[in-house]
Amino acid sequence: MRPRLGLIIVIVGSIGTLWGVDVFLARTEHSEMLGEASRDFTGGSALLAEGRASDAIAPLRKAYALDRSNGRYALQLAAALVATGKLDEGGTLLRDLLEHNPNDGEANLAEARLLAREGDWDNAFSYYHRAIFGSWDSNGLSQKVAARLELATLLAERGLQKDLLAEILPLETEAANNPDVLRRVAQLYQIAGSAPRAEIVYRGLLRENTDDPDLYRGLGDAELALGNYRVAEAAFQNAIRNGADRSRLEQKIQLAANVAELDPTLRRLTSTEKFSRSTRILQLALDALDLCGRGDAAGQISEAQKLLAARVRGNPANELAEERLSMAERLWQTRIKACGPSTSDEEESLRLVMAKIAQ
Amino acid sequence: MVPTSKGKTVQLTGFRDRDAQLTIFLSLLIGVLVGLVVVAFILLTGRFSARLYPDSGAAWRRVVIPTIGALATGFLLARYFPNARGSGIPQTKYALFINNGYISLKTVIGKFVCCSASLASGIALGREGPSAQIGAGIASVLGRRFGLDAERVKGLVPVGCSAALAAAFNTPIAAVLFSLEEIVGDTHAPVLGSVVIASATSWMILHLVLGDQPLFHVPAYQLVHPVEFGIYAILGVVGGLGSVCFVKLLLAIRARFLKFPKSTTWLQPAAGGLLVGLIALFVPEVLGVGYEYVDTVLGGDFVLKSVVLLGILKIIATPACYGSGNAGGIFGPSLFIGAMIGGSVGSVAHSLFPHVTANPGAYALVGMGAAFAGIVRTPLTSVIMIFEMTRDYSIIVPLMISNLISFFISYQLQREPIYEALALQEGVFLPTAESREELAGVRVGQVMQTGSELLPPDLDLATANRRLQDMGRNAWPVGEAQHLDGVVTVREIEERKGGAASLREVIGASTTFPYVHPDHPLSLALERMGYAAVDTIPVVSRANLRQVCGIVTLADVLAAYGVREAQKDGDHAS
Repeated sequence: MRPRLGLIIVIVGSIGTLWGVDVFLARTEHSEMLGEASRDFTGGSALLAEGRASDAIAPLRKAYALDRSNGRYALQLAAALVATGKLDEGGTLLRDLLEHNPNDGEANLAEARLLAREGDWDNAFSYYHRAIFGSWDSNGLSQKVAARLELATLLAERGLQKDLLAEILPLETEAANNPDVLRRVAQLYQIAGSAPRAEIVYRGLLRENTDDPDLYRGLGDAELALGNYRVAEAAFQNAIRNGADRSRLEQKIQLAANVAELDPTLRRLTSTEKFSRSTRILQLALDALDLCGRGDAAGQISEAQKLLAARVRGNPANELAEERLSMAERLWQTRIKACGPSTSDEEESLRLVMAKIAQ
Repeated sequence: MVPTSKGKTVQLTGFRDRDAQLTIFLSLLIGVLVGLVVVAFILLTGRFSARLYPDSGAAWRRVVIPTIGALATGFLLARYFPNARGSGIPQTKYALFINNGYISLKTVIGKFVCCSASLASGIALGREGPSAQIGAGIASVLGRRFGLDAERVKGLVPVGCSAALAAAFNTPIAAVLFSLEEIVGDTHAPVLGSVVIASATSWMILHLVLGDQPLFHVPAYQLVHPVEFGIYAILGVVGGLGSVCFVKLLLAIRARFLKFPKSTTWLQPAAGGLLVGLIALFVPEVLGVGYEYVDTVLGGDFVLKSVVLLGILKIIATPACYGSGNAGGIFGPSLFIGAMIGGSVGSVAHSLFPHVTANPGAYALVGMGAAFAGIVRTPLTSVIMIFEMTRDYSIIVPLMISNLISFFISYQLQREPIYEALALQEGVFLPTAESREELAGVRVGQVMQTGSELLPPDLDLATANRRLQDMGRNAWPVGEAQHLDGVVTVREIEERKGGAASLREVIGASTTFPYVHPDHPLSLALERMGYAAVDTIPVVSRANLRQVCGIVTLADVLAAYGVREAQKDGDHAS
């Protein structure tokens, strides 16, 4: 019954040899599989980058099957799946990843994109924040800035101005040295209704880059929103001088010029000039209401017509101009109530002037 | 407790302690060795296959390689390793029930080499059955080298088998169950402890070498709606029918090949190789075990037409490969076919009722269990195996529904289980689960004599001896009313003649005597009689060992097996 020494030696030797063989084979297999997975991943990623997401799925799936420990493979596969509308499978993959590492910035960003695609906005915004405050393998700051910028763009599209402003403010600080991001930040400030901040950012960028037509154009828009019509006009002219497409800016220049000639709030206007402008504004407001076609404002229309018909001799007093502007404002409000906010190009000058008067 | 007299008990206890230590040591050793060998087998087959079928390989390879592979292994099998042919499970059972657990080292080596070559070349068979035979063979070789007697070597066969399956499937509990349910045919077999030790050890080796990678990567399972239970029942029906088709086709092809002249045996596997090669020319996924594709289907990423086609082609290719005499198992193909059937049913259900059904991948998973239960006929193992693969408790009920229905349909339409039927084709009669159940089903309580008088403890030795001789027994329980004091034998009476006045002095205060309980199998009574060298044994209550329920004699046991008169005649003759 007692085993001989020789048998024990053979058994121990066999175990040692088999262990060596197994480890060698396992390592060979592992390295071959990793190599194959890497090749498949590269191929799949290239296809995905070309926009051929459905073709990219097979190689990316194979890469992930060969190396399940590689989160990048899983993420890229999830991206391809989401891009082809396989949201369920993509979501499952992402949730598996997040289960293992809830702080993974990249996975959180992908999940946020998925949820946004599904229209689950609240959760999407929440995952964007997790991505922004999560951990990233490399270029952490720039990745976080990109994620925040993506979130801000989404908020802008959804018209959530307050939330948008809350994202752009830190973005301006985080991307202080990144002109490309700042350029977008300025645009988003404009969308968020913060033209003064947009103007500051544009001017800061123009200090570094004085011949960028896009920056001049953006500045022009900001100035237009701020009511600085002559400055806006000059900015648009600068944009054209620096190579911007004239045909696209011509209309804006005309608008800025028109509004500048209408603006009754400018300082240093003579009382005659202010009266003349207020009379033109009243006439435009009357035309707008007339165009709107509502007859129930007959009283206001008649009153306005009387004002317009009244003869003024000599230097008109400021009160007369203010009376006409006040009448114009009332007519404009009636027009808005009756026909909604103005969207016509013809009324754009009047709209801007009325907005400035209201300020 | 060893059922014999006190002095012998001490001796036997010592013997049994050493025995138990050796068994534990051997179980561990078998676990380690089998784990290492099976891991090498899996890795070698995989690497070899990757070399034969590189990513950018030409299509002609898919026809030529399996044909040449089958031809080469066919020659090796016919010329050098005739016992390494086939799956490995029937061969392991032959070893257990016919050859006293004997599997030669040559067979182990042959199985390893031939299966490795055959599976790597793309033959549509599995690696788990061969692994089981390799494991059982290693256990058998080790047992013999350690000088164990035939009976104990037999006991090591399921141990090696479970170690191999634990490493091959990465499912240690299912491996234990399979060894007991299918190989031994008794889930309460005394080898349970050894089987568990070896399975766990082998699984540990697998994890040490390959890490914690499951055989299949399965997405989290979820039951979407109770309506799904109905769909799982349908899956069970389809799985059962698919299993029957597979088994009947395999048996028919095997029977046909067995009729060919013996001289063509070496050439026959090439027919299977060529067929699978021709199919693979158009559908490459049919080659080999196909676990990669199963993984894809489990992920739910497939087209209905392709899974249906693959399921059908595999049902044709695997029987052709097996029937023609290639080396390889049917476990892997069963799972493949099940995944395709499940994927098809799930896909149809999902397209019809998208809001109340899970991803088709979930059905593929349950389908694997259903086909396994239908083909291999081990429903318990199949449930546990899939459960171990998913590690998800919520899949248990759908699995049970599908598996049991599939098992029932398969049993109704194909009475003979596949391994027994294959053995029968070779002229070997293996015990079926039913026959084993019938044998184990006879209980002591059914044959014991009640109301027999015990020998009073105060009885003098001469009278006691005479009464034993009158009864024709060499032992009898001693006690009063229903209270048992012990068991006295003729030999003990003769040894103490003149030294003791009554039976009480002979049996002393012994707490060790042979006995059985009414619910014990009759075989255990026979075993204990043999161990204690007595022909009568008391049947005692489980609540009180001193309370006699009856007496069972050797004649009663033999009568239960239908040999009473012959045995009596024999006794008289001798």
